[in-house]
Amino acid sequence: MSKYFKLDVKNKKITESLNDFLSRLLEHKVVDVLLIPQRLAKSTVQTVIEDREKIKDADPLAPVIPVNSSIIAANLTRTTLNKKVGIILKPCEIRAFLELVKLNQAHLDNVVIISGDCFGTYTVSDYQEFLKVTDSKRASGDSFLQMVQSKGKVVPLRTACQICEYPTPQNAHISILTCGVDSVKEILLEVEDTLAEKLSPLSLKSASLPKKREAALLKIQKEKKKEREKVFKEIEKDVSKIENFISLFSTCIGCQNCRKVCPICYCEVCLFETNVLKYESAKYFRWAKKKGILRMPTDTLLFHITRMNHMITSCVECGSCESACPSKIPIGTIFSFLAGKAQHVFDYKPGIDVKDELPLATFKEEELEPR
Amino acid sequence: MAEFEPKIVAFLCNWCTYAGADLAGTSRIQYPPNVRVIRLMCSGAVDPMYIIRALIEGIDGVLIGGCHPGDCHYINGNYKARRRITILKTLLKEMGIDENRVWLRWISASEGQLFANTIKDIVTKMKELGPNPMRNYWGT
Ligand code: SF4
Ligand code: SF4
Ligand code: FES
Repeated sequence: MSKYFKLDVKNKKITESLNDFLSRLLEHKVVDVLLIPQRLAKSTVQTVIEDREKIKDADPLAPVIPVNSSIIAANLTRTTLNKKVGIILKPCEIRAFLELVKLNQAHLDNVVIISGDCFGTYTVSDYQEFLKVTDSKRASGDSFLQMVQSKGKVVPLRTACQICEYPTPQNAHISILTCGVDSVKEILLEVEDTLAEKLSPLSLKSASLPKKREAALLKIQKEKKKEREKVFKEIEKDVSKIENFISLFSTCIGCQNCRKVCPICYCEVCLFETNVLKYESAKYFRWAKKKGILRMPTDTLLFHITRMNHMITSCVECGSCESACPSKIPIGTIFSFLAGKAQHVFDYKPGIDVKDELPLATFKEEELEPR
Repeated sequence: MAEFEPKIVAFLCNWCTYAGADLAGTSRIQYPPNVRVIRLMCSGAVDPMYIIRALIEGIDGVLIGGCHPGDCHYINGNYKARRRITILKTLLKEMGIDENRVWLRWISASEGQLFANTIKDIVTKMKELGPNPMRNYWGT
């Protein structure tokens, strides 16, 4: 169960009233530190804030994910916390964070997850374009919200966001609701029951869900679903034939950015960076002899298909991989499409319920037959 | 033209199927010579990467042999292998690589005949499927 509160917004400064609320969380020791996005010159980056004076330039609703914050949150919570940490995550980042909890890379104790309705994000470079056409004195989150709510999209969102299934957060302790809410006047907070009591020193105004919210959410979900079907139909053509699959990865330069930025690929040292894949010279010539010709460097498909096999049941479809690909390979879309197929086998949805066991960490004695 | 002879790689668990293959040999049970055996300590030790590597190189069929359910020396390696192979086959199918090229079978140390029969079956099936098209692609 949750309780609802509202924050008044003055002069359409949504972020300002939100930041005021967040700083009061620090003041009243609801949290001791905050992980929060902050404007830094040409971009917005994640910061850890102890001093509530420093919250002024925070831009918690900024439509950009420079580094998947679940990775940062995992770094902050890997060992026992003696502080209460408030972490601001987008819905997909919460899902990744919960997978990392299951993978023993992060912990939920002493963590307050703060999230909000997400209307999508840009890549870091598109975000810079977006900033150019907005009022530099306003928080980018405010400009963006106003833009989507008045239907004027300037720069296209990342594909992962265009096809996202969960634009509203799940498993957040505090959710900032702006969809179907007149957010230029007020913001709605959905607060988990257990935390609501701790917020009493803030004397927040209680509120209830506006009726129009459900319809507004449904509309977004419908649009995204339609786009998702379209995008998946396209990618299926490329994925389902091996020659097309090879062609998809013909521009891959093997930088492994896709893996490095993936929140789920948590291994300290990836198998693909070890000596296992450094061969004696003779081996290359043997391979070349076999097919008469050998693509160099080797192992492009081996890398991608192996990575897929190792982690795809936990892929949260955040699209971080795609945003990091210098060759603009639709790698996130490929993973999203295939993740659905693999997760379906185990009836598993990553990052939704922390109690659902990782498919590869468990088994049933009787299942999956005939093989 | 000579008949197509499929190449098969078999990843066999040391405790069961590998010993089963051995038994087939010592008992002089005949089976096709198309198979190359790689011994591992458990079917749960077969990283999908090995199978993917073999398929990309153009191997026609892959057999993973493990202990019967309940008999794995590492308690549940075979159950975990079954999940991994299921994911692999699901993905291969989506990518247009015939998932029937990958066989996971439970064969114990005493089942020499079953091992020989399994090899016969996989060779017959791979002859039906024809050569692995991956052998024609170098852009991998
Ligand atoms: S594979 Fe790509 S979309 Fe999936 S979790 Fe990793 S970065 Fe996100
Ligand atoms: S980020 Fe792009 S180019 Fe780099 S390895 Fe991944 S798919 Fe290839
Ligand atoms: S020991 Fe044989 S399958 Fe695990």
